[in-house]
Amino acid sequence: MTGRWARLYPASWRARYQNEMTEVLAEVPWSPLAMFDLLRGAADAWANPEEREKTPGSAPWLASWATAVSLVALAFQVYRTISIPVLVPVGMFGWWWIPVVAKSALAALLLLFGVWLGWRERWRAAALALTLGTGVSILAEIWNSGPFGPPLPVSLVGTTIRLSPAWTWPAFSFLLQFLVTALAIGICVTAAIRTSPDGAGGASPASMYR
Amino acid sequence: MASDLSGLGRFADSALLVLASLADGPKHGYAVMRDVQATANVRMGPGTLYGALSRLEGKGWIRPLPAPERRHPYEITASGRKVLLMECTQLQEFARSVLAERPG
Repeated sequence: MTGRWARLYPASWRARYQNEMTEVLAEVPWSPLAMFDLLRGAADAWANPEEREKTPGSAPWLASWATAVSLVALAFQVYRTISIPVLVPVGMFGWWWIPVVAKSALAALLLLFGVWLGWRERWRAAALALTLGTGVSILAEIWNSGPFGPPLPVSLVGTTIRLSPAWTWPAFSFLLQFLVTALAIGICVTAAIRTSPDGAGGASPASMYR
Repeated sequence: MASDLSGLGRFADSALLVLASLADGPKHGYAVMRDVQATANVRMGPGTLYGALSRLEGKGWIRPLPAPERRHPYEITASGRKVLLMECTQLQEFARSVLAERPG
């Protein structure tokens, strides 16, 4: 349990305290309260400005959760494209819970994937780009599909929707978002790998004593 | 830099307990936990303990000693003692004023 929990903490923190905390955890009986305390301690460690300064590529929590939220939004886009086949059993058999379970499972999976993605040192920039890209396109799409005034010319998705036959727009929307996201990820991953060849963050224990 | 514990946010109380525990000699993390539980009847979790230790170390109020094993003993520094004394004096004055107003 100890090794896994230590991964919740910033790299600089782990370099300094992981060994001794492992010893302490071996002596403390496991309990939900102890788990909660560890989670809270990890959140505090990330929120501590001194700890953030020691860890290059700051705000991974922000990146993780922002990416997760954007991926959930993306999940609803995906869901919209598959909603018709999923909704068939509802009409035929009255299985109302199928879309609820399908949508929730999809959102949960993508949420976990988003958190995981944002946690990786190398993927953090990509995670933020994904968040921004998805957020902007979804907001623009919402704007363009509502009675809010002139359509936004910046929205590639919205423009495509307006120009496409009605039955094709969900597929176009999803495909465009996928392509834009993949492009953003590709650019950012390349940049991240170039700037952080070892993919590691944090200071050595010795440097933290100075 | 704040010279009292108020700058430590939710770790202020835990940090005071840790400083008090280290005042009578160096201890490693688990010994601090046990001491705090024995003297103050506060069960401190490992996340809270190491949150407090890292902040106290960052402020220079405690320092790790060379460790023969994986866990470091910590000792309170001179500035840590000053902070502990100041906090305890404030608590003492607070208790005195409360007892003077409501002696019963």
